[in-house]
Amino acid sequence: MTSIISGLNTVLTFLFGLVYWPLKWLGPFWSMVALSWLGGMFMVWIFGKVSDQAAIRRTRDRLSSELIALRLYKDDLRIFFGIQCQVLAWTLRYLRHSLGPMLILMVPTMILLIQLNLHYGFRPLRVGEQTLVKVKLRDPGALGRGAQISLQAPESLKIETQGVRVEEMREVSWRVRGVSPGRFDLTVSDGKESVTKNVAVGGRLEGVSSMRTGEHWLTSLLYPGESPIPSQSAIESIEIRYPELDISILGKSMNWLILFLVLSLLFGYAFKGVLGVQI
Amino acid sequence: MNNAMNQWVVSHVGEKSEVLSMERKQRPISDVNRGHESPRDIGCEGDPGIQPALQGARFMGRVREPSRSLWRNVPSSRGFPATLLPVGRGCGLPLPSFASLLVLCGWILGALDLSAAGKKVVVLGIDGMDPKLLQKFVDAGRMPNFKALMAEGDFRPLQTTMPPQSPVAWSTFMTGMDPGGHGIFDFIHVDQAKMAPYNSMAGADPAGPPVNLGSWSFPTSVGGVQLLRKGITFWEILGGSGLRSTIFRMPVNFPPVKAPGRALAGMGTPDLIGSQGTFSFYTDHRKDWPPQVSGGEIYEVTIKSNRVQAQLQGPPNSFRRFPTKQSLDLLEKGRAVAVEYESPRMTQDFVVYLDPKAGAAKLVVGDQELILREKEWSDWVHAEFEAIPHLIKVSSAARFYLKQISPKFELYVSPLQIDPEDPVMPVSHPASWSKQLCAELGRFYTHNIPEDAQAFKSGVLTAQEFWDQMIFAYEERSRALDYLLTHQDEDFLFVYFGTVDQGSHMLWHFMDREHPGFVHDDVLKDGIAKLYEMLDGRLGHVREVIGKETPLVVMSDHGFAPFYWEVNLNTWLLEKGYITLKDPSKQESGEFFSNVDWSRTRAYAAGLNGLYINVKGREKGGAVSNGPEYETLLDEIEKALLEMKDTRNNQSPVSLVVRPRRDFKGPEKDKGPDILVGYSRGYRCSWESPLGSFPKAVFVDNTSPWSGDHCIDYRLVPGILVTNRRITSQTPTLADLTVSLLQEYSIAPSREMLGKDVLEPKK
Ligand SMILES: [Zn+2]
Repeated sequence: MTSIISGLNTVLTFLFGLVYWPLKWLGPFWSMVALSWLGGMFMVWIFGKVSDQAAIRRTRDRLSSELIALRLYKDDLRIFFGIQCQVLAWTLRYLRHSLGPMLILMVPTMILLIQLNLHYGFRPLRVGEQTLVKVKLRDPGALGRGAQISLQAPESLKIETQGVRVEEMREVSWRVRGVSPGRFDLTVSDGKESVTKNVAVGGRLEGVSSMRTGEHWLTSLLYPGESPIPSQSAIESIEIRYPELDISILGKSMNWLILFLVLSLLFGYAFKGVLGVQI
Repeated sequence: MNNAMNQWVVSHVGEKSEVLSMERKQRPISDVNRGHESPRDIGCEGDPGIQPALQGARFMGRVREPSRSLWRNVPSSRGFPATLLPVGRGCGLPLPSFASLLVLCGWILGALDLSAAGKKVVVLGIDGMDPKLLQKFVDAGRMPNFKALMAEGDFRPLQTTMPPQSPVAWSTFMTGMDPGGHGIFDFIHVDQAKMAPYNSMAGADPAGPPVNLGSWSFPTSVGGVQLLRKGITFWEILGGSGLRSTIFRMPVNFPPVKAPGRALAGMGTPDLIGSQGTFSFYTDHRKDWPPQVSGGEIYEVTIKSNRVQAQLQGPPNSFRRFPTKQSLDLLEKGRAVAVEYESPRMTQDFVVYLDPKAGAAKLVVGDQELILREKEWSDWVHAEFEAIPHLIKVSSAARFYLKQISPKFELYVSPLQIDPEDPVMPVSHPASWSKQLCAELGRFYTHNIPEDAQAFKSGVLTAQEFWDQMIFAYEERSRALDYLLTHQDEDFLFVYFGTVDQGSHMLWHFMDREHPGFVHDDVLKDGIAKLYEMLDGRLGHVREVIGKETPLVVMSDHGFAPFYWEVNLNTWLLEKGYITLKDPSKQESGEFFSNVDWSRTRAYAAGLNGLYINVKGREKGGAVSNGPEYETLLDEIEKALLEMKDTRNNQSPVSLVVRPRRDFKGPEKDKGPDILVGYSRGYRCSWESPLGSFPKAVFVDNTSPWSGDHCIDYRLVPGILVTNRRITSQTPTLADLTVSLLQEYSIAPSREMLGKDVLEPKK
């Protein structure tokens, strides 16, 4: 399973990267605007492909004529309630036609959001900035039995404390500080085997992979930036508590998720006509 | 910016000088530089169109403040070249030609350079810098920059106020009035109708009457805070003439007065819970500590499997109310009472995971995680308190100090700050400025006095820990000074440093062998001198940045003296028969005069220098009639105070008595104490006396780390005045300095101002 996830992550990250690479020079905000536009169009296009467009058009037409009728007969209560029932029925029919495609749309949306989280969730550590490296072990009893977990980092990252062991959370954490810019690997070892995790200090303001995990195939899918940790490893995950990437415009910073959802919906709605898709 | 850049700016801006000089003529003030326009005056906030031109200058888009229009004589364009002015409101900057873009660049770069030609005034306010110590360190060759400034201009002791307490002295500096004018007589004032002490600097306006729904309570209007100082500050007067100021951490300016420019509040700003700074201390050995410590709260915690679960105690949640314990007890006993309610305090949970082997711990506060080694300070940690879940939150920040992991667990948490990034109360003017400062400098201390002398005094922090904490606060200020110097686009800049004051209070006993609390410490014996040296370094930097032409004033509000002996003034009044106790056998117990028989009490002491007559109709239990009885009593007490003797060493502890109603001017002079006591060098009011307590002895050796002080006879603790101007008076006063600063801009002082111009104009 690990290798399937790993392969899938590689392919998806590569494909997203193809789109993202030419946009990333625009900076976090404008590249997010561009991706939201592309994302919105993509969603509408898929919706058009997976839905019964003719049925949706028919339902919508019928629904709007019922609504007109509702206004015309608002004085005749008997007819009015009859039309009300019709409106309800057609609304339900409309929902039936769109619900399936919506469910199908969830899959590409999730993939997109996972990729966006990788590219917009966190930023590299600044030189001089400190944070934590957290290592989680698989075996709940390992720390109690005195497992020796060590962390090695190149000179660009200073390890400032000994590993703080929290038995109840199967966790060892270190405080680290960025010393000089670069992209390099940390090595975590339990004396028998070593697991690496990449680190970013300084450089371009871009998304970084915060977690390398082997906890479960689903969590591995959520963190596609690095290959999953093999399931036989004593180390379950390595996380770097990077600061959040600040997407700001005119001095106002905003959350990437909200920004994407709002913009992609707006773009999708605005361009549905261009794509000839009924929503 | 270097001179080459200046010249570039001058030569390229030269083409526009006609427009400038026309603008200058509109200004009533001579020689005020128009080249230092704020980029904000373009009227564009972060307009992407002009950003590239501004990048080198680190422009922070700011909105013109609406209050601006309230001020007289404010030229609408403030001298910005007409060709570049936006049309209408908003960000519609007309597309400038390449030439005007160049001019714009030069203009903005010039605006950020203080050494460019023209008048700006810079004042460094160094709380508590003492003229004798300054001279001593200068003579020892430890303060080359002060020496150079003195040689270039002048140096005099600066006469302070009576009482020489910081809030009083700074208020005089700001307003040019004595306490009779600005109404600040002490750190602590007394509400005589209730016989309750209160903070003299700021007070709370209560919220509107609440609508109660069970345990929920919704006020009908929002409460506020109010600055209690009276009078108009000199920078408001500057603002009235269209001049803008940056006032950084001026004491007794919370909430900051709304004058053109920017201000960050200083001493007198409460912490989040509304106190003047309450630290928290968490330990599993609570019994090692007294039940109560001044300036802090000590909490008992337990360690379970190397885990400590605790809470930060925030302010009361005014949206919730629960019956008080007292009410519930009475109800339970079947006694019908009107139920009294109180608001529970909001809390923020935090967890500490200890790893004694690693000598470190992981702290989890909200969604933040941090690791501290033993004896290590954290940077600012954000804390949030929820008033209404998911709806109303109060933001704060605190610093953690992991004092000890084992054998005892000890964790210090700084007073919870009003978060400058999301302030719940107005710590700056405009309100957004603290947020902008945060974006540039990171979070910073906002409350009253950041240096936690109380934690040191109570033993929660050691001298070395206090030193580290003080230096952290100093470095925050220092970074702010650097930032303000390079981003100073206002006409007047004031920056306050409190380090020397707090250091002199707390480190005196390391340098003075005669002090009853003398402690030998090879490093800290030089502590005060080091602080003076640090400020000397800052002065050097300021001089470098602003150049010799910019008027520079370095001043302090008062000097310093040793604090050897405490005077229990209330005990003295008791011994002299002015106070009668209800139960003399319980002389040493009871809070704030609770054991006093007011009907047989004629005078009492409150605050650090204040003495009040128990006047009928003014005090809650007044016993002395206004008129001849009052006057005779005042004369009698004045005489007795001056005759007071410390029989242990045959010294006179009091060398001056001031009577505000007789000696001060202004409408507030009747509102303060009836007598201000000026102690002799070495003496000061005790710790207990201002709190209305009656320890047995009148005179006590002071062995507390709080070993230096200045709340004595004002003539003994003048401040300093060092400037690159000649000082025309041998005895300049704080009030003179106010007038002199206005005169720098050729602005006449207000009628209420008591001083005179003492700075010779630069030739
Ligand atoms: Zn002071």
